[in-house]
Amino acid sequence: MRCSRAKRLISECLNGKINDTQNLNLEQHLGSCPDCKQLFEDFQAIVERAKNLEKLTPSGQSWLKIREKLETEEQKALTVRRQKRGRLNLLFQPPRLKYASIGALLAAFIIFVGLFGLQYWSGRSNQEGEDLQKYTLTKLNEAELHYQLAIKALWEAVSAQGGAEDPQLAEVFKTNLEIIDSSITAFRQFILQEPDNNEARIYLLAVYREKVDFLNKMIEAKKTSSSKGIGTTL
Amino acid sequence: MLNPAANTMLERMYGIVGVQSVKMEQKEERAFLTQEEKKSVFATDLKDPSVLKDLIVRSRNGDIQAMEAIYERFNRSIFNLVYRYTYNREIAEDLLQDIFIKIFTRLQDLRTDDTFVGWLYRIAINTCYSYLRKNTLQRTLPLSEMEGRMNGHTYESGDRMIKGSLDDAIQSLSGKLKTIFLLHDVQGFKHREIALMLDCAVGTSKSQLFKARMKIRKYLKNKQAL
Repeated sequence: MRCSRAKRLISECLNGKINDTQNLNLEQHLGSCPDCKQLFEDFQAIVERAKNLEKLTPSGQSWLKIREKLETEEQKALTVRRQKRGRLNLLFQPPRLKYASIGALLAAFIIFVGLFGLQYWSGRSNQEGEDLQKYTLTKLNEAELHYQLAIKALWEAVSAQGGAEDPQLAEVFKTNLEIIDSSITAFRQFILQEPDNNEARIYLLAVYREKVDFLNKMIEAKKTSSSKGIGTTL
Repeated sequence: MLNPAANTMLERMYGIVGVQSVKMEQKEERAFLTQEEKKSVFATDLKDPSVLKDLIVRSRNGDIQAMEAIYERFNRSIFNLVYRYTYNREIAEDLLQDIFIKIFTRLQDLRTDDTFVGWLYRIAINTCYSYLRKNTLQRTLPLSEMEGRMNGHTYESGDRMIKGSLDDAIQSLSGKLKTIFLLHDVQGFKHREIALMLDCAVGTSKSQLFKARMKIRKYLKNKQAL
């Protein structure tokens, strides 16, 4: 066995990774080569000293500091998450707002499905047409109900915000709400006269949607106004 | 309230018998493990990979007691590794804190929980490298070492006094040789594990260890310490 090969085996042998044949060959080489034997003994001593190096223990304060920093990091992350949520939209804020927004979205979906169904089935027979008319009417009624619930929840959220309101802002709110509400009243009266008029119902839903959007804007505006302490226009 | 699996785990970890008592402990929101609990965690439970895995999952969900249990399990070995890059206790303590903060805030990045130990050591080594790079660039010396030089003496600072000659030899090694020597001969990792940690071939780990041992031998021979 050459010394270069023996040296490699010496290092591996100390890790217990050589087989019996290699071990035997190495032993024979070490018996005849004083340099390699010395290397083997030196490596053995180094490995032994490495195992017995002083084991140090960190101070007990380390964990307390880590814990403190982790809690600070957590607080920071929480603040960032809240800011992001606030910027995104109102969907993730109070449950009432969340449900109202979901209700509005659901209503929009129902309208879409209703209209799509209307177009799809328009080529069918009269009997089918009448069934379809009833079906559409039911769905539009459902959508109206969802919008009404959404508006109710949003209005409660607006009322819950409380606080002093900028007079100019209050005026804008009042005027817009009056316009929307008068539109709703007008369409409702029209639908009472012509209950099967789907087009009128769809317009009514559009106005409801308008009101949902407006109430959302009101909440945001009131929030901005109260945080900045100044009036805001929509 | 904890689910039954979590209760079982707490019982196993802390040796608290009875679910009721575990719940009581939870209600009190204890901040720290008691000495007995630390001993229990360190001595037995974390040898079971499933327990470690559970602690990782809980730590990921922000459970501070699980984090403390992980810290208790690994802080000594990581501290000893870090210390032998810096040879300054104060700096090693700071780096240790940085490492565990990184670990607990980046647990989401850990792909598989089975590789946690390797990942932990990799972060520890990289943190040490970053410190050394920064330290080399700034060309600063610890105050304790400056004291010895300012008086024109060559005596060693308090930290250096506790070192044996092998520590001097380790300190003389360059980056990767030092890392592999520390991981293999001091920390007791296998070449396969080191290769995974350092993202190198097993053969590279073996040959670098051989070189490191040769350099240490030469150093100690020169100092007539071998």
